[in-house]
Amino acid sequence: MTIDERISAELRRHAPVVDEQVAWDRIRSAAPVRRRARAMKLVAASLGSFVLVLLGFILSPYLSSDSDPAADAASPFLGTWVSSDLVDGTTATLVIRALEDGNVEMVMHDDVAFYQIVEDPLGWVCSGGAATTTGTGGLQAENELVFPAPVATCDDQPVEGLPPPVEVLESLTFTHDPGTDTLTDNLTDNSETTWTRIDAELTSPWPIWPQTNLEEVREAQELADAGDPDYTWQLGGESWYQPSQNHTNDSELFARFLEEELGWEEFLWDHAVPHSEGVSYIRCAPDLTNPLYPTDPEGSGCAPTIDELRYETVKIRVAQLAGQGPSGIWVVTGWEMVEPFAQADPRVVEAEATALLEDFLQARIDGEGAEGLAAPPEDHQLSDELADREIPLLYATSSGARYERSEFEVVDGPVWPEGRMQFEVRLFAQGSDTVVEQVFSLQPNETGRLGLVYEFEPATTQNGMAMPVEYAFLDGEVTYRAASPLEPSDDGYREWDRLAIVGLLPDDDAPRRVLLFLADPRPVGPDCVEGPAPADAEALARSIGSDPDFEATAPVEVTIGGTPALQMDVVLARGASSCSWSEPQVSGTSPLLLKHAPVFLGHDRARLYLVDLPGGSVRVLTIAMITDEDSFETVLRWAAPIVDSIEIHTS
Amino acid sequence: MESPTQARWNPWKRSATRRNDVNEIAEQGDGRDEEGQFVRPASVEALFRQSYTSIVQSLALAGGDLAAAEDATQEAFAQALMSWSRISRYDNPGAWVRRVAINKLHNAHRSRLRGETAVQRMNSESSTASSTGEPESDLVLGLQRLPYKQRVCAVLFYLDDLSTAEVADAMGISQGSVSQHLNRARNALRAHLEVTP
Repeated sequence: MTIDERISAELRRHAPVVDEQVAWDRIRSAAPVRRRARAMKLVAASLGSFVLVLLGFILSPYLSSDSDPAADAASPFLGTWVSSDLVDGTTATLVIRALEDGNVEMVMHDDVAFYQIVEDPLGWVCSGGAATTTGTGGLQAENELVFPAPVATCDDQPVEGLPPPVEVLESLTFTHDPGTDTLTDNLTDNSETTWTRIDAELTSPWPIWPQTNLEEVREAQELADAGDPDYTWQLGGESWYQPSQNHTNDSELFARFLEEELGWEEFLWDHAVPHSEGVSYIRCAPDLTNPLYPTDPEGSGCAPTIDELRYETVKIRVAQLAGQGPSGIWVVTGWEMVEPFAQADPRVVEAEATALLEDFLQARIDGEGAEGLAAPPEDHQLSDELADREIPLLYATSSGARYERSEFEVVDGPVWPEGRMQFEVRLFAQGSDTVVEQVFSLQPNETGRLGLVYEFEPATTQNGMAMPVEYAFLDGEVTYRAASPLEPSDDGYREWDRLAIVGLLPDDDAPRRVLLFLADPRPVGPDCVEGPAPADAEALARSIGSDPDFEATAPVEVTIGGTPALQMDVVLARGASSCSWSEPQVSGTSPLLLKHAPVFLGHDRARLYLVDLPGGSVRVLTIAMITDEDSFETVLRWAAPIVDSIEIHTS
Repeated sequence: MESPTQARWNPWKRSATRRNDVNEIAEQGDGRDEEGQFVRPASVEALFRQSYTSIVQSLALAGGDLAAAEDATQEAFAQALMSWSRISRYDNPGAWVRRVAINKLHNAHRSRLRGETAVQRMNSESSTASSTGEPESDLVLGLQRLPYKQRVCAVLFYLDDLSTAEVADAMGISQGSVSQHLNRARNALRAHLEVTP
């Protein structure tokens, strides 16, 4: 057997037994509760749209408000809207128009609807069939439109000869957000449905390509269903549910539209400027290399078409009008030329970056004014753990020596299209005996202006040695410093009350947990039941020392962060019971201490520091170094600087 | 409380001409249970029978917590049940459920940081599943010592037989990252195999 086969076989042999029936019963009982919770008044699921689209056409001449003051006040609500976030994630359509009496009228349609009756939580209307809801209402507040008693009618007749079921709803309310020009409704209690306005200019006529009317779309859908290759190319995939977010540059619908309708020969999906309401493409000059980015992997093949920097840019909307999901064909329902996308001029970027870097480095040599010229990243994976987000060694080396000169080199960029760059900076002190090296990036900020950003990775080095970074634990009650390659773990063992310091040590082939911080750890008693957290470090030491499953050294008084502490070394006693991995474990519940198989194995040794935290949010901080005997000294050596750097900040 | 699947028979029938996935679901066994009641998510149950156990097993091995794996997977299936009209249209609903379960497990794990859920868990009923009864192997214990992403990659690849592309999709990371995690996990687990021939 190969290594892979042996790993597979071993995992299969130890996979837990699962009770499917109990689980299924739980799921079935849980889901309806949630469904009811979301649908106290009514649940409207997915929507399709023929009727709505047709209604939109029919009603469109009436959509503009007249001079009636009431209608004017309601004008933000008038128009055709598409929902974007209903319970099942598909879209619905809503038409609101002004009436001559000053009120407004609404028609809402969904193709697959589930209406739940308030008074009878078990009563369901439509059960997945199409439904149309109509009503008359008016403004209740400035941005609130209320339909007191709209009527939902299932489009399907339940039994031939009988009228369709009807449900009268309660106070259907739409709230208009002027900032985003969107509507939200109160159809569900725990989640809001957002309605986005369909731009009349984009949707008229609708659909537009490649079919020209709804009847053609329906016929095309039937042919696509039958596998006709003349129409199956209009099918999308799973990712097409959000074409603007999950887009690929080789989508045939867009490509053919751009080529056949707009006459573009070369184009690129404009991923840099995604639009929530459509997909943007930029036009590339055919057969030309981008002169400003001749070697850029992506940008070299797309030269601008307007001038040296700007591209013709089009926003395209698509929709499924005759069927949803992977089997539904897509059509282009609107397009418009938008503000041309512009690539950054790499010459300008480099010049600006050079000037910025020179100012920044000179300020560091001068000893003032560098703070405002570069910043740490807004969002960093260790943002919560970093105690100090300042750029390290800003004005001096670790020994306090001032910088005397500097240099930098471009590591990467300018990268198309924004011109991002990366630089390695070197600052020299003590006659070049000391060299500090750091990496900075040139990135656009929220306003689009390029700025210098200090990357915490790779770490700042001084004469080749990684400089320690200060981190915080327990919301800053404990701080410590760790240097690359060690850092707080992102492997799931990084929480408020527990933390692993992890790194890939020399000669190791996988990252190793070098040190654990545990807040108020709970000893594990017989049957792997965790006991209460001991009152103080001494009580915890007694608990460990008296546990027959452990062989522990007598506690030795030491000092951690200026605070008295106890040090113990612990191994599992021969024949000790180790808790199963499938029991609640350290990473699953509150911090257990030792005796837990994934953390503490039979051939492992642990060095523990038990520290009282008087005045802190927890009583006992345990610092644990746990590893196999062979690696014990190595781990202690790597952990020592971290332990030595610990500072306690409780009162 | 009684669920809709146990409710009285809803006499309204669906249009025979409408073409959508709900219809297809309804046509499976007429979409009703033995009492003639409308059982819309019948295909969710099929999906459940097909993939529930494997998802729970892989998450339990990856997370080291069987009860948490069950909770996350059951929540994912409950979500699928609620949104079946959408989920059923996906090319691979099972992949969707697996990804949701992985995310829920990870989120649940992070939400426990202040102990609230731990207390709830301690007070809740115990897990309905049991372990295999096999002695813990060094390899499984070694797996638990791997970083989280390596663990998840390893179980999805070795236990669920997913391709690296499928693992990447399930975890929402790049295929290159999956290969890197798998390589590291394989190297780490190899040592445990050597002591367990």
